[in-house]
Amino acid sequence: MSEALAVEGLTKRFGSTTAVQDLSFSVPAGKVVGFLGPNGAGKTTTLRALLGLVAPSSGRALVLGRPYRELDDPSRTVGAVLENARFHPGRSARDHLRALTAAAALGSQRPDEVLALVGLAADAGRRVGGYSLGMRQRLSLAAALLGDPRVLVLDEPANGLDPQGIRWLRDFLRALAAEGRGVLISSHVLAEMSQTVDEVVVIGRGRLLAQGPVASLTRGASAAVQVRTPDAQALGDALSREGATLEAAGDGVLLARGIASERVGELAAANGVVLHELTPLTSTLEDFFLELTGDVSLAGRGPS
Amino acid sequence: MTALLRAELIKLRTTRTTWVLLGTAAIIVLSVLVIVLALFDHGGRVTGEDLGGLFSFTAIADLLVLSLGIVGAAGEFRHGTITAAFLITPARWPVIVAKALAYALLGVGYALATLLLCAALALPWLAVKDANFDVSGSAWILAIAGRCVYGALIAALGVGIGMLVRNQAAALVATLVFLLAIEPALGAVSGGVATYGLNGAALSIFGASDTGIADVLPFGAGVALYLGYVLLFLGAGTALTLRRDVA
Repeated sequence: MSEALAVEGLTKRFGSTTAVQDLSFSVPAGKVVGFLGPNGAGKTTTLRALLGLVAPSSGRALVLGRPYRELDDPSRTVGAVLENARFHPGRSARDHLRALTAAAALGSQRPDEVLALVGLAADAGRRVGGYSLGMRQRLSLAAALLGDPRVLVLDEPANGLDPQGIRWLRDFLRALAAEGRGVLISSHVLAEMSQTVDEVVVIGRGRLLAQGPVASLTRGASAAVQVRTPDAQALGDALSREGATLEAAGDGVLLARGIASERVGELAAANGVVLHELTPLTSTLEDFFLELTGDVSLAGRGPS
Repeated sequence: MTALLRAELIKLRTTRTTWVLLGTAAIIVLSVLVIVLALFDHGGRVTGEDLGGLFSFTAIADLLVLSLGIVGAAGEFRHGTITAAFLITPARWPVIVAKALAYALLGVGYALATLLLCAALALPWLAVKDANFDVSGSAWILAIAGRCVYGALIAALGVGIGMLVRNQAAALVATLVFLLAIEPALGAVSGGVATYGLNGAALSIFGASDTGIADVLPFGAGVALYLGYVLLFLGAGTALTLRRDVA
C-alpha cells in the first residue's frame, strides 16, 4: 500500500455553504505532506472527513484505501492531532491518556512512553487545565502516537509551540516519516512548512489549487526582481510598458514581477536610468502560496 | 465493550465532579436519615417494611446521580473529549452504550454505599432505642433491590439526556424543572401522567404500590417502564450522535 491517505472527489456541504468541492489528492507513505490554504479554505473539514468525524456529501476520504469508519483498528492505524485540541481541564495528562489507552485496548505502559516521547513526563500528573497551549499541543501529539499509528493527520500542530518546540516537532515528524509513516500536516506557518514537508497540497475555497514537491512548485511561481534607483518614476514607466507588474517598496526600491532581471537591466541602460541595486529574488513557498491563494482569499472576504 | 467500559470508568474516577456530586448526595442522605430516625417511633418493634422504608430514603439525593450522568455525557461535548473517543471507536454507538453501563454501575455502587451507610447508622441506633427486629418477609430485600435498580437506571437516564441535549446547563435545568415541577403538575391533573411518568415509575420501583398509594404500578412493571424511558433517551441520543458531524 503506497498511499497512506487519499481524498477522491470529496465534496462537503454544510447547509447552503460548500466547504470542500470535488477535492482530490493523496499522501504517499513515508512522506510528510503539507496541507495549505487560507482560513476557511476547507482544510479542517477535509481532515475531519479523513478521520470519519464528518460525513462527505459526496466523494471519498480514505485511509490506507478504506474509509476511516471501516478501519479494523483505527488507533493503531491513524493518529490525529486536531485544531484546538481539547481535554477535560480537571484530568491529568496521564489519566487522559489512560482512558484513551483503555478504550483502544493498548498496553498500559503506553501513556508514560508517549508522554516521555513528547517531553511531558515531568508534568504527567498535573491537571491539564494548568497547561500552556504548547503543552496541550504536545499532549495532543502524545495521544495521537498512543497506538504507534502508520499514518498521522495533524491540524495546525505547531500552534502554540515556541521556536524550540517547532524545531522539535519538525525533527520529530521527519523521523516519523523516515520510519515509513505518511504524515499530513496543515499549517499556516509557511516558513516552517517548507522546511518540514516533502510535498504540499494547496487548497482555496474548498478546491485544489496545486499539489507537488515544494521545489517544483516554487520554481513555477513568478519571482520578483528588486531594483533600487534614484529615478524610480522613469524606470517604473519603462518596466510597465514591458508588461511588468510593479510594487513600490519605498526609498526608491521597486519590486518588478513578470520580467527577467536581465531585461530590467537592459531597460535601465536603454533609458539611461542609474541603478543602485538589481537583485533577482528567489521565490519561496510563501510567494507561491500568496500568488495562488491571493485572489481566492480576497474574493472570500466579501466587501470591506 | 469491556475496553470501552474500562475507559469510561477511568474517566469517571479521574474527575472531581464525580466525587463532589456523590459526596454531596451522601451527606444529604445521611442528614435525612438522622432526622427520619430521630422522628421514627418504632413502638418496640421494627418490621421488614420499616427497614425497607428506611432503605428507600437512601435514594433521596439520586437527582444528583442523574445530574452526574447528564454532566458526564454533555461534558464530553463541552470539553471536546468526545472527538478522541469517536476516533478510537468510529462506530460511535458502543461509546454511548459503554458510558451508560459505566454510569449504571456507578449508580449501583453509590446505592450500595448509601444502603451500607443507612444500615450502619440505623441498626445500632434502633438497637440502642430498644427496638425488636422482626424482619420476616421480603419487603426489605425488595427495597434493597429496588434501590440498586433505581440507582443504575437514573444514572443511565442522565447519560441519555446528556447525549441528547449537549449543553450541560440547559440539560440540567430542563431535566430538574421537568421532574420537580412540570411532571408533578401534569400528574395532579392527569392520573395517567402520575402513574406512567418518570416519577410514577420511580415510585413503583420503590414498592409504593404496597403502601396503598393508588395508581402505582407493580415493581416489575415500574422497572420495565423506567428502563423504557432510559432506552428511549439513549436511543434518541445515539441516533443524533450517529447522524451528526463531530465539530
